[in-house]
Amino acid sequence: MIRNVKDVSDLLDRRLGGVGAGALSLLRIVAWTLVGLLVIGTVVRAPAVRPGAAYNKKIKTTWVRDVTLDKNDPRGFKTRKDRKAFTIAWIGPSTLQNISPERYSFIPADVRERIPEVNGRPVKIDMYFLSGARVMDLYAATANALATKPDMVMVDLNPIWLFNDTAITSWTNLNGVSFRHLVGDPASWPLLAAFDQPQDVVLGLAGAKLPALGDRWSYAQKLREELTHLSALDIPSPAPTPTGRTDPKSLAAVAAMSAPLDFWQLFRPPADPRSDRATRQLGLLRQSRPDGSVLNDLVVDRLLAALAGAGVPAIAYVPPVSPELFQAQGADEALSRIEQHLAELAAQHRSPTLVVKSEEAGRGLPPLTFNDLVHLAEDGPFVTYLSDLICGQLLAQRVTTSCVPGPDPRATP
Amino acid sequence: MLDFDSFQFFANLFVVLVVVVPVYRLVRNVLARRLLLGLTGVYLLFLVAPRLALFYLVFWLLIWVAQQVVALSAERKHGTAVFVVSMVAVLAPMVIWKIFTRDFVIDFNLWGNGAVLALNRDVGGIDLAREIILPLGLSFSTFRGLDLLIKTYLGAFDRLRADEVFFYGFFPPVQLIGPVIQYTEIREAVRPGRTELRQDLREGLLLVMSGLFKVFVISYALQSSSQMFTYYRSNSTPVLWWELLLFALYFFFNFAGYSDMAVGAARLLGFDIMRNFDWPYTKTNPQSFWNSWHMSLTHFFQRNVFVPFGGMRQNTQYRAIFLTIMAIALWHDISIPLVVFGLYHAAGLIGHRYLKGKRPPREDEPLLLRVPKVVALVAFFAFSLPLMVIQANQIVPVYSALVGVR
Repeated sequence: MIRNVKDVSDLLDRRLGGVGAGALSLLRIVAWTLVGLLVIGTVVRAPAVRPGAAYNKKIKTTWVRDVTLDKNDPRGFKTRKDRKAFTIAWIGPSTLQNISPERYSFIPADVRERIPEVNGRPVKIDMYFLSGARVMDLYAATANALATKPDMVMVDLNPIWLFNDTAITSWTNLNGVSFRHLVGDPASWPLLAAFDQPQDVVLGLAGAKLPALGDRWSYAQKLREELTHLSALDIPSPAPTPTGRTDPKSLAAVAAMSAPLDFWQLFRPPADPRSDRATRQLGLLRQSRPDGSVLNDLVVDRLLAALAGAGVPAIAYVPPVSPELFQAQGADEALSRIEQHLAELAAQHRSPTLVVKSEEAGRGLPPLTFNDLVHLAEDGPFVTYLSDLICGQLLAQRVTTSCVPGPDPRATP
Repeated sequence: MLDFDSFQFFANLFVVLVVVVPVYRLVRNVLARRLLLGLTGVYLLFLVAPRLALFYLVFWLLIWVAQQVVALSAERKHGTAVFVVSMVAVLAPMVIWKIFTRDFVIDFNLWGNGAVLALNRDVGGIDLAREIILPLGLSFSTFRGLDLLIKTYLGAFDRLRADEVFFYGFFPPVQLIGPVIQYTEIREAVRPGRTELRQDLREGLLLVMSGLFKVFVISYALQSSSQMFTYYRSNSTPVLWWELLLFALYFFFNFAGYSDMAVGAARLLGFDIMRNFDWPYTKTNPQSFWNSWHMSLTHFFQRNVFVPFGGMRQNTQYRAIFLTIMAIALWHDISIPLVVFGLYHAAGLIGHRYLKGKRPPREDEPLLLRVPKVVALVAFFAFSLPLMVIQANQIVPVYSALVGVR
């Protein structure tokens, strides 16, 4: 009778000639496991994934697509190949959006309206849109984007979080998939050691070769659906929502938080929570440490190094922030320090292909309308600014001999 | 948040072991071996969150100091007082956590991160990006610490050196979900040449595979049964009982699976630590059940509660059983449902002990008699499981639904 692992071990000796007891035997087990995983990945195909399904529905043209997968999907992104198109990889956090009751759009999509083609090739924009992205996530996305060999790269650097170490990363699902792109840069190793888990590394590397591991998120989703169908429980649809007020500082509320940052912001508020919005926003900006003392510096440094060495035209820019912010005393000074520090870091990565616009874009533009601190409600002038910037860079790099952005289709005559 | 995925810890552990096992096997120096395993444990905690690693470094430093003091004062005038104070100090974090859960969890994260930030801004930045966590593994560390102090006080061993406590405190496989190992289980095995590598690797891998099968094949498939505690109002009594039995299986296979992984990982390193479960759902009486369920914890309480309170004596045995099962219950949580859980199982154990005294069971029980007993015992245990999940205000509605009174 088998009662414990020793009995199993004895049984293996008696019936299977000592399987698993020698080095060769262990190697054979590993080899068969790999073969098994290969076969599973080939025979049992993972369900297809559609990146950014919710966002892509809102983009009218198919030339601009959000390529980001679910935040828990370790594959990170899914891009489309189109050799005939001029591909721009556009990486950014929520500041890529234009949000107003009248119009929800993406700034890259609005730029594409102005520059539909380059050198006779249609412009295709792969949008690496990471809502709530922090600087390490942008670096990871940039590394993934560069691996797809785009024709141009744009990176949106939200100044609020650039040197704010209360959240350096939030898209931890990118760890595995970006490891293989970042490991070639020894200067990035401290970042890999800090943020990547050993399992991320192994699953990221193995997942690239073995679909059975790489597509595990899709398999898990499918399996969960099947298991839910098998359950005898009658689960009301939609599930009832909890009624009554919950103390925002209760343990249940903490457990329901979606990111560590929510916790830190609640229990270590950057400004008095009862103060006006501008003051609270200033508090957030003041959390930044643009003095070289935080890990963000290394991330920004490596991000700029990657862009400088990409060999294709690249632009890193600081999107505009609401003028409301500047009503608070000291806001301009706080933002200037961030801009200045970014310029200092950019100076270390001079490259003919890289343009770093370290000054907040709103400073040189007519007054803009905002939905909140950093999200535009009317992006027209900013789209013009970006379109000009792109054309200027393409002309300077001699990628094209002619690039004139079209007029703003929504501008009132 | 606050729901930590135990597999993440084990996945990291197994990857790290690919490097650590060969290095550990090659190193012949005992001190270096202890340090290697201790540092591996610290690294695994750092991966969860640097604040957790720092917390345990301080925690085990205090245990080391307490152990020195207890050992030095054991035979002296105030030895008992020193021992009691040390025990209280080691127990305090866990008890405070169980009673003042909200404040403890919030302050644990806030103060922990504050301390890490004060020590190093970059590591503090890493810590800020890690999840907000419960004090993971605190109960198991507390029990291991207490075990060390008790045995030192009783003279079972002398003062341990700092590296020995470091090695015991941060022994990697048992950091997060136990088992509650005793120092004696690993003390000698750390010396080179004590076990055979091939046998260790084979048995370790078998245990790890057994654990993975239990967690990913069996318990994963049964996981949705836990939704019965949310949707008990909209389901019939037979469905709830069916789901409750599935949940009982899920509860066992999930816990036993992770225990197998921990025991297997230890075996890969050459440590033959005690297994944590011995097929409890095949037992026929409450006593055998508890002797085979979470055995390392049960044995800890047997050694330190049951025996000292007279469990081996006729006239005090019921009191000892009651105190032991209440301690086991309240370890999970100091709450009304767990008090009810303790009373329920105390009644079962005392009732069984009483009946056993009146009519001793046959040794060669026929299968026909065993099967209904096994079914009854599983149902008896499953009926208590909701108490480990629900809040006090849910006791009446959940159990009303289970017994068909709406």
